[in-house]
Amino acid sequence: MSPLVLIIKELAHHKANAVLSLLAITIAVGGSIVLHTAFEGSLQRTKRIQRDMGQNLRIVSKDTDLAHFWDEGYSKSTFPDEWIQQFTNVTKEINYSHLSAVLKWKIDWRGSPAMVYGLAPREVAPPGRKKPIMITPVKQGTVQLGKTLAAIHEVKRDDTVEVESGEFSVARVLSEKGSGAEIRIYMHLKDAQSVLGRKGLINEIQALDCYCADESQDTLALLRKQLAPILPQAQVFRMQDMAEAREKQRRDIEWTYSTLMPAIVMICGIIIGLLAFLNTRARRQEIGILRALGKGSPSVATLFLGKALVLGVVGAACGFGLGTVLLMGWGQELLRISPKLIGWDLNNLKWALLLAPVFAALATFIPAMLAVVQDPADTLRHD
Amino acid sequence: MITCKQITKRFGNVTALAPFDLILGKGEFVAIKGASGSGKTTLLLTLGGMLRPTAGEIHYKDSDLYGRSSAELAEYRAQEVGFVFQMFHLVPYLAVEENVKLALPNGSDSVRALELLEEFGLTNRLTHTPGELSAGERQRVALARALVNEPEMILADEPTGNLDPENDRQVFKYLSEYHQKGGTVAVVTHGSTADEFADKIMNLKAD
Repeated sequence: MSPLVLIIKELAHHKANAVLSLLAITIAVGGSIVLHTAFEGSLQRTKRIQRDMGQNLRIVSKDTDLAHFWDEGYSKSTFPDEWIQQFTNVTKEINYSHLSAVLKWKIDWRGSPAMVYGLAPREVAPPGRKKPIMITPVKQGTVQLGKTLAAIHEVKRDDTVEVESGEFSVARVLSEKGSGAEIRIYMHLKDAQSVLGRKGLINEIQALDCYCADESQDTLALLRKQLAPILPQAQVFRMQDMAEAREKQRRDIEWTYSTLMPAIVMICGIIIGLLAFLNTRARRQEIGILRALGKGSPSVATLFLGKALVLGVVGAACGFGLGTVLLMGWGQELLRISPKLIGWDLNNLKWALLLAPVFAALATFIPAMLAVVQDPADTLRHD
Repeated sequence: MITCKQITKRFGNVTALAPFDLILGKGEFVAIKGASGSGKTTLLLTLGGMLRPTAGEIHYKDSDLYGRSSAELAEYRAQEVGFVFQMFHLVPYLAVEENVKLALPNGSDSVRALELLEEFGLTNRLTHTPGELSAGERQRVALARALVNEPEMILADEPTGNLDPENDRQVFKYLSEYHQKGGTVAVVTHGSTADEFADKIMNLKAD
């Protein structure tokens, strides 16, 4: 008689045990799918928020007058814009990403202070750190004005304005930012270099530190150490509050995920293991008689581990259904997960079908081994 | 066929089977009797390769039975021995036919199982589970399961201990038929029915 038939018939006989085991696997799989999707959603939301916060690293020339830099918000020491390309030549993994060349300079515009903010249209990515761009490029021949600046000078979208020696169309008036951006004139880097008379020059490289440093590491020290061989003539500053808030947010999400997920899986694993143990005890005589019929240890182990695999496969399918239905019902409203992440994701099913049987077999392993080593004579002697 | 020399089984300080000698020839029918606690079941399990004796030797067909590996002992039980127990020990979730087939190797022909069930008057019970059978029927199923592999030897532990006199006699008749066809039978019993069918009666004494 095939082991599968025996397993199915036994499952049907010990219904309560089978249903409870199946429920535990279903909850483990469903819970994991919900948590994983919630984690993905949180991460996506966090990334979006952090992207909107902008880069948090500022690389300037070592010659920079730092008192002026912190007072005025820009460095008077310029350097060639090709310096940024040094980051594409690195061979070791570095913590810099989303690098963009900037030339910014304070000017007097129509009698009030303004900051020309020239932005390269493309970011530079070190090898292995290619990501969707964070910056909002400005088209050549156009400018984007800070709200306060536009209000003071009564400039509207599509107006033509003169900045230093150049004429530009106002592509956009920015919403209120409540920061230095209120008096900025954003333009294409080439335009900024041209109007400021600093062709081929920039005074800052902005970047984002990747979230890959160990929590115990001094991130700024690491960043400085990494920068030295790439741009020995430059120094880096980290906007600590912003960077730490970003790091903390990511770590909080990861902690929640990495704590809850194993907790659910472990609790369900213990329940499955206990149920398997009870099942082994309830089947002592059956194991004894199988031994008496000449079934060896592999046959007995196959019955118990095979049962776990069958439950794992069915539990994976049920858990996939449960998790997806929960997400569809409450994911968006309660967990604020993007609708794009919610649906019948066959990738989840694939992973569930792969991992749930292994998980169930592992949880059942000790009881299965107890069944294997059980002395059949002991059971049959005391009947 | 099977020879036991001074086999003893102890569980800690308790002697379950006092030193015992047995020679069981091929085609013999031996009834083993003894008071409760004399080690009748222990002896049977020891002969069946399921319980290693603490001392003494058991030779089956001139080879040391417990010199075999556990896989070889499982093979011995599967092919050479058929067990019958007082409590029947049928698998509760399997139908009659399936319980008998359980003793067959995977994928083997099950004609013999159906023949035996017909012979034992169980054709109308093939799809019934043990819970739906009378005690006599259960023991006949157990007997069919023990015989389905055409073993060399049947080891029966109080096979009629839970049966009424009619079924008691019936079971011994089946065992006797197997014996008459050349099978070897060792039956542990309290009752007297076995005396009529056995070639030899042995008494076990408690230590």
